[in-house]
Amino acid sequence: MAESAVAQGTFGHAALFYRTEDDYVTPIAGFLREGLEAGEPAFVAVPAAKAALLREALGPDAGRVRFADMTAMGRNPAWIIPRVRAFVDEHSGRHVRYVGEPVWETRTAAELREATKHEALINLAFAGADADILCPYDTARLDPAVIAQAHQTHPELLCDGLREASAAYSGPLGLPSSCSSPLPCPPHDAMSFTYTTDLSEVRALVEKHARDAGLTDARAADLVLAVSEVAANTLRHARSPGTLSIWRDDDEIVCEIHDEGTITDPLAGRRRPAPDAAGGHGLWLVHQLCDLVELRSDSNGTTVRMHMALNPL
Amino acid sequence: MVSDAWSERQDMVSDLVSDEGTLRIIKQCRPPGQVLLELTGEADLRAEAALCAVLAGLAAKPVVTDIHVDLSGLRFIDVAATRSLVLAAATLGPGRRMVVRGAPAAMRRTMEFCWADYTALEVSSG
Repeated sequence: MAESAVAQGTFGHAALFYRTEDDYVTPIAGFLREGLEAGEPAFVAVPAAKAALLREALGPDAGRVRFADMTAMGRNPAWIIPRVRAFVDEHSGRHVRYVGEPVWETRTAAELREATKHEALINLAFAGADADILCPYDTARLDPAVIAQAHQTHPELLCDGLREASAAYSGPLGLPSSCSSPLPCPPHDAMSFTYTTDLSEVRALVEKHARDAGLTDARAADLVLAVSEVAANTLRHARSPGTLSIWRDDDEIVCEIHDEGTITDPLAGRRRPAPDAAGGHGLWLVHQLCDLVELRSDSNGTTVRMHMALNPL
Repeated sequence: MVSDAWSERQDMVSDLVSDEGTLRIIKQCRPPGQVLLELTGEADLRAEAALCAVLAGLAAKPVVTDIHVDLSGLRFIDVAATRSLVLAAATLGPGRRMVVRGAPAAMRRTMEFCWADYTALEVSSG
């Protein structure tokens, strides 16, 4: 039994709720120091200003921690799990610590849904991994509904230095309703087009709208490729026509594909496929190319909503 | 279009080997052991089987040592078609190679995210 416990690793995933700088720095620096003293590799992905606070608190020990700016690494929350997976795999056989702050108050509603979904999928993606994950949430600035979802997506909470079980935790396959219920409807003036066999027209429409919206050539080509891959999945798997919708607002252009197919893998697009894998490259690429991807799938069908910012940072 | 080695193509025999969906594949053989494939149009789902068949046919002929693929006439190439090229190149073995020219933006992005460390397929910027 002891052997299997070691092989399965000790996975931990705790939320930390903070209001002040001190609430933030003290427990996180403590969590990291505990790992460093045991010789454990540590990775911190938080917004850059927060990383500066942690570096200062850690002093010379900060040099033993890998830092990333979460506003870049996790701009699309679907990019985070592969990065953490790469860190875990790089230190295979060792217990690692990871601090990830993917939720902040200036995120859009769609980004917040996806960041929350990402937090839920951490439990599935790293089940059995030898990794301890701590996720800070700013209760002074975030909507209470977002904090309530953090209680659902984290098996544990870190309060006053103590780990306790989260009573609201939904389990490794549970998703808060905001990221599992149908997406808000497209605006009434969205363009809509039904395709059955020919994807050339789908690509031409996306290209035209992307250019009209002012995307650069490179980003327009990325969006065309992404939408074409999702639409090709319709023709491969769905046995139904697909519908392309396109709309935009001041900040972004959005392309949505809906069909009657079903995607059963909750981690689709968040695991780097092996080079010779039979499938999975398309959805992986779609998630890498777009600024944000929302995917909803059940027995009634699949909706994939791809967002591209008009003025990327 | 293609440069240098292929500039005297008027001496070569060209075959339209596939015209499936919106993709045309023209094959030119130039001894010893060199083949040029010219892909024009859009390489997507409708041409997937045809492209795979052409590549598998060439890979199965050990006498063909150099496969040059000119993609400069492609408007689009999807992930499955890029995958076909990458995996076909990987089956060639020592002494044989596949070189791609004129890769569209879509293919360069696909390679970057899916097959960045996969060096069997040579992508020439020329």
